[in-house]
Amino acid sequence: MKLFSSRLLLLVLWAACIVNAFFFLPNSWKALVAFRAVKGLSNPQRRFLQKGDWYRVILSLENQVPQNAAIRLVSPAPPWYLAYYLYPRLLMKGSEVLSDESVVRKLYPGDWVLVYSETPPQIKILPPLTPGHS
Amino acid sequence: MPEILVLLYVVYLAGVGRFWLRWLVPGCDWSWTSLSWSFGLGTIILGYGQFLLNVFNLPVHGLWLYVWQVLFLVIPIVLSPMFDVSSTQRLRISEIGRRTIIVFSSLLIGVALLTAVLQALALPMHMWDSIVIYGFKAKILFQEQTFKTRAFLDPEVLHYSADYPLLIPYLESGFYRWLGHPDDRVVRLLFTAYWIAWLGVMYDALALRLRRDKALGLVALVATLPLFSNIYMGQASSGFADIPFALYWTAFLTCPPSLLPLLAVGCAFTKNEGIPLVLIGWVLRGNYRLVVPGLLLLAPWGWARHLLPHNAAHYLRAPEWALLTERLKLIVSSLAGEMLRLRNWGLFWFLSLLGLFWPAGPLRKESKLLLTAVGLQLACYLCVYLIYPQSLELLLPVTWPRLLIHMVGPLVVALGWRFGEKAG
Repeated sequence: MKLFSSRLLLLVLWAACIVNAFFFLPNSWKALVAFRAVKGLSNPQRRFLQKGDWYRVILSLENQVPQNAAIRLVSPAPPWYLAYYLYPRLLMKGSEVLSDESVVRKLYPGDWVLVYSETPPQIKILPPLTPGHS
Repeated sequence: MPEILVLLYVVYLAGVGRFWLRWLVPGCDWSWTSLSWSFGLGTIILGYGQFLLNVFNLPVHGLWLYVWQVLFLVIPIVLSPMFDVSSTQRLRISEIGRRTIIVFSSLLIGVALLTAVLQALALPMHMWDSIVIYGFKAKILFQEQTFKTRAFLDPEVLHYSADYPLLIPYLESGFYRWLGHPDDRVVRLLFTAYWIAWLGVMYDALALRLRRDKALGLVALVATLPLFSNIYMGQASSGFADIPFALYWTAFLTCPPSLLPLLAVGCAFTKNEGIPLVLIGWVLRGNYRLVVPGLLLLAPWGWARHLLPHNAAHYLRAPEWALLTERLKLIVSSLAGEMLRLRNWGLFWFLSLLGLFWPAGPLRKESKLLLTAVGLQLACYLCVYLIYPQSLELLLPVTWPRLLIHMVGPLVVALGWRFGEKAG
């Protein structure tokens, strides 16, 4: 016994696709507009548009710290994206207490030290104490 | 042009998979959906292959890389006459159905694909999992060409979830090698390819028992789910591992038996939940003679995972019984809220539930298997949420949509088969 006719199945599919289209087509339009708006930009420029100032911070850190250096992080709440963008510089555990800055520097004299906090806003990169490292 | 290179990379992955598919499923045809299977297998062969080379400390730089890649192509050709693995032939329903439905569905899928491509090419990957988990590992693998490095093994290094499965990072790093540098914008097209392959596998499974216009209509319904195109969060090119996992999991449950060991690797090496789900899927499917090859293939990952500093231990804790009912209420209400969210799912879950309880006669054995798998999968996710050690309020809204994607493939195939014309 066939309780669900072929025609009804197709009708249900059509109805569901129309509901999808109500949300999906505006998304398609936005995707087209966004694509055209950023056409020709480099990836760093696209990241400025995405997230704004935080990416400038990344670039300034990249300019100061040599590649393959180890960076000890002193931050109560480190931003999650830092390790990704700073690589191949390795972000290492330092301390969650901002006042530990000098302790961390002494503990790891060959590493760079990054002090980062959002409240109060603070960002500071300190070179290794021992020259010739990193 | 990195965009052209990523397309070539996708073709290359599908080409490698094609060799293996011809060996493992000799009866398969040259339809576009068999290319979906080829892509799925190619990603596993090349991703896991690179991992195995690292495990055994074999050189992967310079010319060696090409030597190994040629070997990956030659292995199935050499093994083919020695071991005739299977002669499974999957016969589809030849009836095409209404052409207007096919044209309209193809048009919808085309617009959905174009949307995913535009989103992928507009902005670099930017969400947590895509960069912190997979993107970071891909950069390390590209730079160091192995996971046996300080960035993975030293617990002092800030590396979230260092023990996560590595298939996606290996594939991303493979593309970066082609390009010569990391490009976290263009690599999103790899995920769009995964999404299309997933739709192809779903169509292939549906077309076994369903007229082609209806099969394509169902695929169009899935392709246009707003969740895949939501601006900035579009799952079709997000860089998350959920679509790749959905591809392997749907394929695992619907594939010819000879593909089970490789697809088990695909599931377990893409997401952690792959391990319990492969166990469930295998118990439901039977074919126990293939368990040993599957285990042998997965053993190196099991060993390597213990080398990596891991955070999985946080999940293994006794549930707090007093809070269990409270948590369960929160989880179920959040799940119901997500299923009814029109701007993510349209009417999909409403219709799926309706389809499940519609009096359409007894379920076929294959549909029962798929629905049982989905039910146990949901139970697994509920258990993990129940014992999750931290607060669920922030976690549930961002994880439910992605976990539900894993269930879409088997569910659509089971429901499609249920209302199909051909008797099982």
